[in-house]
This record gives sequence, C-alpha cells and structure tokens, in this order.
Amino acid sequence: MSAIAILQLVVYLGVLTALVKPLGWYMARVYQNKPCGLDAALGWLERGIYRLAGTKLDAEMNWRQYAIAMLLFCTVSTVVVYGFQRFQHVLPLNPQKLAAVTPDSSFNTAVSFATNTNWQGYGGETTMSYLTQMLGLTVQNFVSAAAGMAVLVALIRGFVRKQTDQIGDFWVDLTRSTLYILLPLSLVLALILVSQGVVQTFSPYVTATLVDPAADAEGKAIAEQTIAVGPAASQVAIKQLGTNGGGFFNVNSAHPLENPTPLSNFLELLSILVIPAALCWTFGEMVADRRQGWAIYTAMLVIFVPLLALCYWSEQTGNPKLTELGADQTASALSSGGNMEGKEVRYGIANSALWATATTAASNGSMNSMHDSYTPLGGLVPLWLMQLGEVVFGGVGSGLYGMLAFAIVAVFIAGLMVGRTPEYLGKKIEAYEMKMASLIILIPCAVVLVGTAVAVVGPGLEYPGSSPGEVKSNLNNPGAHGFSEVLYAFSSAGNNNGSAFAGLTANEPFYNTALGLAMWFSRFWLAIPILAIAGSLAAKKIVPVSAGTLPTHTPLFVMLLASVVVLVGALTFLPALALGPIVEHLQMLGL
Amino acid sequence: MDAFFLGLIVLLGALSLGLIGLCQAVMGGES
Repeated sequence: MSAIAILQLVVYLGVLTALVKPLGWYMARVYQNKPCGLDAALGWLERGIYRLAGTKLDAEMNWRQYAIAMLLFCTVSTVVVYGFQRFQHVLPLNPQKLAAVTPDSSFNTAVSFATNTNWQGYGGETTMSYLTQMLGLTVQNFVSAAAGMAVLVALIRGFVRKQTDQIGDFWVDLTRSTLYILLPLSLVLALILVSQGVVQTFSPYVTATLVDPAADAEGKAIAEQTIAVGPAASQVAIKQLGTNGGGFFNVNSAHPLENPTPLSNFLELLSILVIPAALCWTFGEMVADRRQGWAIYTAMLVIFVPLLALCYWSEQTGNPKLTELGADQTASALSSGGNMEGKEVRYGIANSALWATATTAASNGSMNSMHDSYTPLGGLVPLWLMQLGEVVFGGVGSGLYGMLAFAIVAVFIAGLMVGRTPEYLGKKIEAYEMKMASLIILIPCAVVLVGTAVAVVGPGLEYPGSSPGEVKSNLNNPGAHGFSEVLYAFSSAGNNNGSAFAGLTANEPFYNTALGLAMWFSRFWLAIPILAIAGSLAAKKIVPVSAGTLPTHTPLFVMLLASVVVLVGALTFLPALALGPIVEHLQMLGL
Repeated sequence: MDAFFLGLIVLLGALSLGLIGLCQAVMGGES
C-alpha cells in the first residue's frame, strides 16, 4: 500500500465522519418538524403541496395506512416511468429521435428506479430521451430515495413513541425528505459538478471532426465522432446523494462528462455515503441517545474498513500470473501498478477500490471502474457487501432500517444468551418483531440465491431465439467468472444496489423480467415488515433501563452487531461465493 | 407485451398489499 493511497482513504473517511453530526442534526430537525433554516424559503411550497395532497404537517397514519400509501405511490410511479419510456418517441425533448424502449426493458427500468435500485440494462445515451431521463428517471431518483428515508423515520418513531398506533404521515415524510434534504443538497452538488465540467444542456449530441481519422473493421474511413451530451449534472448529483447510482451515460462515473476531475470524483464519492452515514446521527438524536447512533455508525465502519482494505490490497497486488509472464505490476512514480484493467488511469487503484467498496456498501451502484475486471478477491468485496443486505451504510433510509433489523436480531440473541427478555431502546423485542426481522433478513437472500439458481440452470445462459446447436451466451466468460457475473446481477438487484459486474448481457427478456421481480420483492417486501415492526413497537410501553438491560451503545454491542451481520452473510453466501470468486482466486494462484 | 408488463406491475402491487394483510394478521394473532 502506498502512503498517498492510504492518505486518500483516511481523508475520505475523516471528511465523511466530520459530516455525520452536522448533516445528521439538520435531518433530525427536518423530521422533528423543527425550524431547519430553509423553512422561510421553502415553507410556502411545502404548504402548497400539502393543500394539493389534502394532508397537513401534523397528520398521522397507522402502520398499515403508511405502508399502503408508500406502496400505492411506488406502484403508480412504476407505471408512469414505464409510460415515459414506451411513449418517448412521440414526446418532446428527444433531439436524437430515440425510439420507444422495449416493453421488457421499460418494465425493468421502471421497477429499478421506483425501488431505488437503478440497475440499468440499457445504455443511457443510446436509449433514453432527455424527457425520460429527467421526468422519469431523475424524479424517481428523488422520490424513491425519499420513500426509503420516510420508512426509516417511521421506524424510529416506533422506537420513540409509546402506546399509540400512529407512526407519522407518509406524504409529509416524503415531501420533507425531498424538499428540505435531497433537493437543496442536489442543487449545491449539481452546481459544483457543472463548475468541474459535468455537462448540463438540452442541446443535441455534438459531432466532432477527428484530428486523426481512423477506419472501421471493413476499412471504411471514420472522420467524425458523436459526443453524447445532455442534462447530466442534475441527474448525477441526486444519483449519488440518493444512493440511486443510475448513470446518465452508459459507463456511469467513469465517463469524463459525468466525472471529469479529482474534485468531482471526491465529491461524488463523498455523496454516496454522506446521507446514510449522517442518518445514524439522526437516529441517535431522535431516540434521545446519540450514543446509539454512533454505535450503529461504528458497527458499519467495523465491517466497511477491513473490506475496503482487502479490495485495495487485492487490486494493488495485481495478478501473479502476469508477474510470471514478466509484467511489472509494482507502483512507481509513473504507474499505479497493480491491476489497472477496467480502471481509469486518472483515478488509479485507490480511488477505484474506494468507489467500488463505497458504492456497494451503500446501495448506490454507480461506478468509476468496471468490477468485472477486478481480481477475484477484489471483485468478491463489492459482491459480498451487497449480499450482506445493504446494511453497511446501505441505501438512504433503507440501509439504516435494515441495520436496525439486524440490531433487533442481535439483542434477541444476547437476550437468549443471558435468559432475559430482549429490549432495544426501551422496547421489548418479542416474537412478532423477530418474525418480521427474520423476513427482512431472509427475503433478499432467497431472492438472490433462487434467482441465480434459476438463471444458471438455463434461461440465464443463452440468448432467446438461438437456433438449435447455436449457443449465443449471455456471458462473456465461462466457468467461475461467468457464474460470478450471474451471481453479481442477482445480488445487485436482490439487494437494490444496481451496480453491474459487466460481462453479462442482461438487456433481454429473461433478465429484464427476473431482475425486475427481484428488485420489487427486495424493496417492498422488506419495507412492509419494517413498517409492521414500527407499528408494533409504537404500541408498546417504554421499559425503564434496569440492571438487566443490555447496553446497546457499548463496544461489546458494536462487535455483536457487526458479527451478526457478517455471520448471516457468510453462512448464507459462502457456498455461492465458493463457486465464483473464491474458486477463481484459487485457480489464479494455480492451486 | 405492454398489457403483460403492466399487469405484472399491478400483480406485484397486489401481492405486496397481501403481505401487509398477512403481517397484520400475524400481529393480530400475537396480541
């Protein structure tokens, strides 16, 4: 490891941690309906939205009403995004005259963006009109993120309130998350990104005359190049802040017009984790015990930092087979060294490994390097981080509510060990909460493993329509690496991450449909039990702290929580990982 | 194909509504 690389990683984590408290404090004020500094500027708009929606700031719902409102909103959003894609050829803001998106791809993308997954089977610049990108996808970037934050806040209210069935109002939480948190942060970030060179325009694509004309495979001269542009900065800002990750351009943040400079790279990286990290502090503030928030944040770091180190070390070490062939993979003043396949030279190993780890720890999914080209262990890290359930930071809102489900399991296990009724934040954890927490942990595991199994027994390996005897594989690679490509796709969709390993042709009916189903179940079939837990907890009394209460802010609990997350992830996915990156690593070592 | 995928979205929404009912039923059984 080079000193400069370590310094970059330390600075990143330091700045992230420094932002946890101020942003967490601000978000707590937003959710507690306290003045937050933007009330004068945006209050009129908020009140107007409530009047239109027929609700008010102090409205309340029980958990079923909250869940139904969230579900209806997201279902209607899915249909609207589907419609934008199917009719984009007759709608305005389509200067490239792009055709309607196919039905299966439209379904996949609509579910993907409404569930905050943002898996992309398509290439943005060759598929989506400006209108679809803006009114379809960017709007969902905001509201799907806000829906996740709303569910989290409802769960926190479940811990805070006592003997009530009311957990807040979905429409108010959705509005305040969007208006006071996501929109202002995105506006500021988008302007900074524009200053760095991220493109923001309604102009058609630019045609440039090549300085050095080339020839295609048939010898035909190529003298011009089409450079895709568009309203990218506004989408890039929320794609990072909302842990969405769907790129405006096909190669996402490896594209020079989506991520042009070291500063844009740092800010986009920071934006991936800043809201999920700060929500830990918001949680502590709202439950009136900030130590609880820091404990959760520390548990996340306890898992994140070693995996980041493993990914970086693996990529920096490179491939020993290449060393045997005489390739020099040592870092020097003129070379990053290590495994640079699929990475941008301008970012190097450290910033690529950091992005890969952060984007899969959060359910972001944006990329500045191609994970398919990582070494087996380097690729295992993003894969496993997704399989842990996107609770190590995770998505905005969804990451923390997933981690709180693990915390419920952790206190239950601790309660079994000492023979006492488990409590968390003064609420007794009983059979119902455990049943719901178990659903939350098991559903994504089942979706990932069943989906992968179905794909690799046939339908996910061959293009539909291949003639008998002709095998047109969806996979670029055979064997263990090909298996990893399929496992990665279902891990990404089944945990609402959205990043792609690449190497898998997924824009065809089987994957578009199967991954769409995976994304739906992994989002809503987790959010609904979380809201049920919120309703159950809100109805309970608050039990005073006693000598038998397990403290949940101590290093002991932090390690217990991190261990539960890691053990569940390991027990569930090690057999599948053994067939993919682990056996590939052993093959690479020649064992 | 549009009818198929739109129907699938509605079906997914309906199944999720069913899960809300199931969670409520389990909650009722516990109390």
